[in-house]
Amino acid sequence: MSRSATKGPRSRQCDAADAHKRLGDAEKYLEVAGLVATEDSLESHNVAAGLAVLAGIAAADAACCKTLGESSRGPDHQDAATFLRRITPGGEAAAKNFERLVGLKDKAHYSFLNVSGQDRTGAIRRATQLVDFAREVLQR
Amino acid sequence: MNVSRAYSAIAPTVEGDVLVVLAGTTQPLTGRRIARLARRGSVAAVANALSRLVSQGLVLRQEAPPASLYSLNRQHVATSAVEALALIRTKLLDRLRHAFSTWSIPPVHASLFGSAARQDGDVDSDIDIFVVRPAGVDAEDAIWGEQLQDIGDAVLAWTGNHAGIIDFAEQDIGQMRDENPPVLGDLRRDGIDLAGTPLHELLGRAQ
Repeated sequence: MSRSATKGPRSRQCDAADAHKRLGDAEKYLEVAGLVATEDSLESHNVAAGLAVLAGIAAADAACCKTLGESSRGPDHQDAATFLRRITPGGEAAAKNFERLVGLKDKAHYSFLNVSGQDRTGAIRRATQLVDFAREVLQR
Repeated sequence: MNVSRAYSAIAPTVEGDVLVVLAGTTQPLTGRRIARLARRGSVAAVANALSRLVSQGLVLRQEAPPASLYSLNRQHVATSAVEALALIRTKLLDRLRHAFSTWSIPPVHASLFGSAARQDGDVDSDIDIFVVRPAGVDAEDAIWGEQLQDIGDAVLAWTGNHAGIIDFAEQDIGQMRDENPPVLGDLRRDGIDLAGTPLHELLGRAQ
């Protein structure tokens, strides 16, 4: 039987202070992604998209720490989407956004292929929405 | 109103804190976890509050030995009121953002800071707002002054708290960054952007 069938997603406990720390990380990743995206090179597509993915992961952690007191731990980002979905209101939309964003992770971080300009732009847009969501959750 | 725990204006007991935690998630939580997430209340006080809320049908309890798990009963007729309580603070921020968006002389920047932003104030705390006046608009400008008066009046009407407004000239931002007064640290650490250029961008570009 799989781990998820018996125990659910792997998680770590965290609190409001951790949430603020991860939101700060997310904002900085996103800021640097935006800077890299202004460079006109194929490599910059992968790096900008990769940073946007990191921004999204950090934003998800921030929102989950604030509302659930725990965030995803481990390599399966589907777990993080599962946690995000449990936040109300807004968690369902954020989880969908997150799933599409982390779908780019392997290509952006590890692949020999380049992320397209369209994917890079989409990744930054989704990361921005996730950071905005996390910010709003922390302000509740 | 205590803007840090805005729901306490209507639900001042630990029940209010518990309900706001449960309104924020569909995930069933242990009493201990709820106590950790709530803004106040011991584990024992939270357990008592949960018992009372379960008896009202507003909170559901499921047994997961050795613990009990609690969730908000989303079908309860009172749940919409609980969900509204949980978002009172969000509503205040939305109103502030909307008010600034209607200014005929838009601010270069506006943000909430101080205890209202940190969420550690009380019912008597001022609601501190930092507003940056565009270069070229005099501090004595009648329209600008009216806008400041109106936002202060609105904050008082919406919350019962006085607004503490810092009206700052855009051309003085660079000097403030150089001198780094304590208020700048508060803004950087806790500021919540309400209008105009985000603070970190504004400070980054000031000459």
